[in-house]
Amino acid sequence: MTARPHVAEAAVSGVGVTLPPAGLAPGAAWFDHRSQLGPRGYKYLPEACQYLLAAARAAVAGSDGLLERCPEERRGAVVGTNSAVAELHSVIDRTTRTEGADFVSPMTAPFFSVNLVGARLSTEHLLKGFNLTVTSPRVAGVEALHLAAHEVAGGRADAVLAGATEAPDPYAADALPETGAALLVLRPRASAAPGTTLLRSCLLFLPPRALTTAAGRERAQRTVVSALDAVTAGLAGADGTDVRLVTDGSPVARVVSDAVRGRRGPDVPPGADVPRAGSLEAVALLADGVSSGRGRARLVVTAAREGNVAIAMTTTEPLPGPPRQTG
Amino acid sequence: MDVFITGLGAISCLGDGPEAFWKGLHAGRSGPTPVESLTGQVRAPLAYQVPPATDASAHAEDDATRGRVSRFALHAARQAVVDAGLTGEEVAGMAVVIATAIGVCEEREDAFRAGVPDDAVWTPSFSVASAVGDALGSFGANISVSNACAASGYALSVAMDLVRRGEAETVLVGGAEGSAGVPIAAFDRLGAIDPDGCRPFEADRKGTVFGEGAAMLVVQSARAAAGRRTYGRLSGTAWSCDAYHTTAPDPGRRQLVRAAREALRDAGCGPEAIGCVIPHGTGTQPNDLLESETLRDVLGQRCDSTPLFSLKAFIGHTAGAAAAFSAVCGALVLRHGQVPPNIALARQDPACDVWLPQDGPTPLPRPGVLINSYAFGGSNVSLVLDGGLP
Amino acid sequence: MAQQSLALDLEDLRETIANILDIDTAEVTDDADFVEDLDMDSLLALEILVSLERRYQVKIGEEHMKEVRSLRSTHSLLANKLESA
Repeated sequence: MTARPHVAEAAVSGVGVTLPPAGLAPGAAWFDHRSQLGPRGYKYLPEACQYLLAAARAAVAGSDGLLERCPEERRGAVVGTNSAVAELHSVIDRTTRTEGADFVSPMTAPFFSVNLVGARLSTEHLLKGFNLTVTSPRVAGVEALHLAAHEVAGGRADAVLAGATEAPDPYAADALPETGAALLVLRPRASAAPGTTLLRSCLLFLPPRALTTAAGRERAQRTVVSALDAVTAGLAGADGTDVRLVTDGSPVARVVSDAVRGRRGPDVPPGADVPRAGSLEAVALLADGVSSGRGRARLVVTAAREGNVAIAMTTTEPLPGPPRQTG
Repeated sequence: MDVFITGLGAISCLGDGPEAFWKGLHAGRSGPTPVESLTGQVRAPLAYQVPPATDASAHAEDDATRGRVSRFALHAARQAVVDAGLTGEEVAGMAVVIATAIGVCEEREDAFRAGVPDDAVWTPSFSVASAVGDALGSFGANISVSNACAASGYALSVAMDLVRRGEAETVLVGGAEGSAGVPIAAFDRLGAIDPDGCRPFEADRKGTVFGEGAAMLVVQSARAAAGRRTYGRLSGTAWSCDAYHTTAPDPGRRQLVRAAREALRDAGCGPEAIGCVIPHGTGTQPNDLLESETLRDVLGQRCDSTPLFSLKAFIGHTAGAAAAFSAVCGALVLRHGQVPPNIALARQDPACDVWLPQDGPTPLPRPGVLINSYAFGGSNVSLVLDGGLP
Repeated sequence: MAQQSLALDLEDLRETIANILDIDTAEVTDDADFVEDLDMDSLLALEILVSLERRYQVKIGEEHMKEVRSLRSTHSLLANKLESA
């Protein structure tokens, strides 16, 4: 029996992003942890952790006291990342080889464990329900939103901070390193007043080697189309949806892009010329869709060479719920 | 909806496959070996390593391009799939949830530390779940969990949720970790390594020792598991977070107790149903003490008569794969109805007031296993396995 | 006395420690206790040790951690280590 693309749904109560200003020269300083976070205590945090904390403050501040009203054990966090500690790994590797482990910085050493970046959210905001880090290639941010939405729907928490954080990957190769963080505050859809922004999401996987056969490509295309339909189900004025692709030049991305254009029309803009070395872009686009308040639904489709695909949509339009499942 | 364990796969310092794993757990001894590549760079360059050539298989050519951790993951994944007797269609539709704390970090460093070739494509660190999904051709959801030492516990919970809400009938779930310089150097720098090996609950324990390998399970809904021989059920799970300190656990233990109690509640049973505990038991002073006290709180008087099986003494701390190894062990304990003898302790810490039987296998008193898994950063997960049938 | 790569200067040491502790140089008085007055925990103490070993090219050893308690005691410790190096 096929695992059916399954749509998760949640209400969005707040948004926070920490992103470098557009047009910033590479290497130029833009974030000062002392002014953004506090005069002391944040110096040794990897930059991805600093961005995440700043984004969280903004998201929490913008969510009208929701988090504070929840008991601590009913608050959670799910953070997606690919490269939050990639640079740190490289530094520890180099230091160990050239000088020995004795010279690895003790204050930064614990962050070899990528989840400590997200775990800091729990310490800062007393999120005792749970704290989870997910890391699928390029889709990890939406993966985090998706799992968070399931957790609030399933009753494991009443409010969850979810999103992505990235710091430049020293081995980004053909991709563009990402910098910054974007978070949404999610709560159960059932608890949300009309007019609240809704988030819908779905995770898929298209095994790259399956795409070498016609049958595999056909199944992949069907999977993407049915997931798109499920995520956008009940959306009136579908033509007005703002569709964005976050992809790369891989066969997986091509199948996804073709399926999206086939379903949503040829005017869907292509993904960026240079693929992103991280999971931030998709969440940043969704966050922007929420805070820009233009009233259009924003549909973000993310794909990675490795096979991971994620589809997510934010809208303020009231949608019939629960969403239809595919398959 | 019930979640049944129908297949197991394992590769570790004890060897290749669940049978070798189970046999190794009865050997009464184990130990780490030197990590040659770290000699002179790390004070205690030790790990519980998979013996060379253990993951040689018919797929070796296919897997050769992948790094160590992905090879382990694939190897154990295939074992689990075969063990469950999955059809081609089931494999094609299955979801895959795999945990890794470090991913292909070592492979990336080896490939790129001297420079990134012009024609290289971006190779993300956490690509193990994707690699397995690709190799097996599985179109279900593919999720990569990286919650440090509890990662595969969270992966198991996520897999349970997929089945419980009807999103997947079949899920391949587990964890994989490869011996790597970065985690061992970091542990070494933090003084968390015990040069005498991983010796949980010993009075003079000094820390933990890294272990590598992969543990995989196939879990299925009742409908998909019908007609199959099952190991048992994943009957309950719960999460919690200390939210206390970056690295130190909360001595108040409230969240450790909560995770265990809520996992039991989720399983619909009480402590009286538990016949064996597979603890997180890492060998660090704080963990083993706090966990022992937690088990006293949760099991009450029954703590005296509930055997613990200290798995990490056999395979080391396998980080992202640790809870999956515990689940494979728990499944085998249920299947065989016995708890293997623990490696003999020189002197059990009197403050760790738990029962660690060290003589011959102990008959499993009740078909229920409690598993704890606690991550660096304070993320905790407890799981309950029982002997339920489809 | 062996050639040192960096001369042990009290003010330089004061600033180095202030940097590591993430506080103003002025707060690192000669006798301020790192633990009681300046909120140093064990990981931060280790960070100071490692940084000083690197900066002054001298092996100190973790058994000397307890001497890293004030600017004065740290200066003393370093002076001893550099002299016997």
